[in-house]
Amino acid sequence: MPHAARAENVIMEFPSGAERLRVLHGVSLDIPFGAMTFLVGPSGSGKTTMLSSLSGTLSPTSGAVEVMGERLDQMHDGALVRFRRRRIGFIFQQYNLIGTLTAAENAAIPLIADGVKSDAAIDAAKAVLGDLGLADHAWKLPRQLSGGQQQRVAIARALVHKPALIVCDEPTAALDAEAGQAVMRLLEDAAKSPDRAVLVVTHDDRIYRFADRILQIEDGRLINTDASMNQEPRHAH
Amino acid sequence: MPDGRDPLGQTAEINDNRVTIAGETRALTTFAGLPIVYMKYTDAISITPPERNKLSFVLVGAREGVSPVELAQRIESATGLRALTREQFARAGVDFIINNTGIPLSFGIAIGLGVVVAVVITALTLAMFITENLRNFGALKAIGVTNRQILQMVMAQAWLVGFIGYGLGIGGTAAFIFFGRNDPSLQGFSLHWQVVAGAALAVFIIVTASAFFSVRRVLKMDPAIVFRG
Repeated sequence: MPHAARAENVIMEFPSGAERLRVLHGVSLDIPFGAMTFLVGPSGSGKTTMLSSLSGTLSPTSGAVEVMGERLDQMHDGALVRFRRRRIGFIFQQYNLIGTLTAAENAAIPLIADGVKSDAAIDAAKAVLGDLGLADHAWKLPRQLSGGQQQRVAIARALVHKPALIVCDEPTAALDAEAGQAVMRLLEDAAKSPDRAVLVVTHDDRIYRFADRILQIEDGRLINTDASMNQEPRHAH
Repeated sequence: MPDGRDPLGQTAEINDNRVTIAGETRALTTFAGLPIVYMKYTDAISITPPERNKLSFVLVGAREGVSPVELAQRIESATGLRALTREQFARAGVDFIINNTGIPLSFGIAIGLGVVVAVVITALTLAMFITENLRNFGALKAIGVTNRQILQMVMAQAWLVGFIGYGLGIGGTAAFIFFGRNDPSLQGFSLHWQVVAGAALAVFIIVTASAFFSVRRVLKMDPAIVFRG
């Protein structure tokens, strides 16, 4: 399996009044293992739609989307939900933690949703939180944590079920520069591994230096698959 | 007495006649709240204003070993007057109120309005909860939480809230009746098991229906909503 994820000639259209608005115009790309791939572009360029396609949360109008060798565009809804639950980790811009659950319970959600017993799932979540430096915060509610800590809980939730692909939607957009850099360092340390791929959608150029590879998208078309984007050398941080 | 004096031996005035209170009883309050006075029939005839029929009913006690039903039948056949047992008399009173007064309609309208208000408030509260947490639901769906699991989660929360509300409502009603049991103006209230069960069923249906209609939006929602700005 050469790539963790691959998109082939993906077209995405949405209804817009009586017409259909084409957001992606036949995008083809691949996401390699063991690397952090950044998908960058201005607002409205289609990068989030591409992320949604690659993570199986949105079916393309046409084209092929393959993750871990499985065609997501051909899966029925139930299989797609199971696939996402077991093989993909999600990190969202606004963290999207459940306010009434503790950090450990939030991080345990993918395991509990997959049928793992609550105690075992929370133990596993606590272990990951410990790896991310949040051992002492496992029983705190999200509102008791800083933005950076909440995003670390979100990272724990994305890692707890050991997914093969992690997708991050603007993971630093809600953080200040320092917290954003810290989260990216943590993400790089915890998420990057030879049997895992990390896809980051962002327009925050302060974190481009964490990218192993940058794909640039504009107006629904991939315009650069090896952009340097003025990224600093990887050993700079 | 209103001023707290012992009523025994006191003189009261009824229809311009002075009467002496010889005893008191703890009677159920009448529907209209009028006081009940026990006295000899001849005295009652003499102090009440003239009217066509002053005798509404006669209370009869059955000797030990005599069935009330049999006694009522014997009285009817002997006098030609209608005779009822305690239960039949109570039922006849209820039937009279239902058939001849506007009380059932008034109560029905009040209860109906209560149900409508409960449905609207419950549905709006749940809909607001869903709307406020739409992105979180989207995140859960993206992560791989199934629609069934989301439905179970929302239903469990709705039922819990409904159970707490129902407990407070029924508990408050029971407490009102319990603590008002010695107040003459509050006597006669009772909480039948049918009311308790009926209210529970109504709350269950209202909460379940409201939760289901509110959560439909989440069930149909695209999980990719969580990525939209």
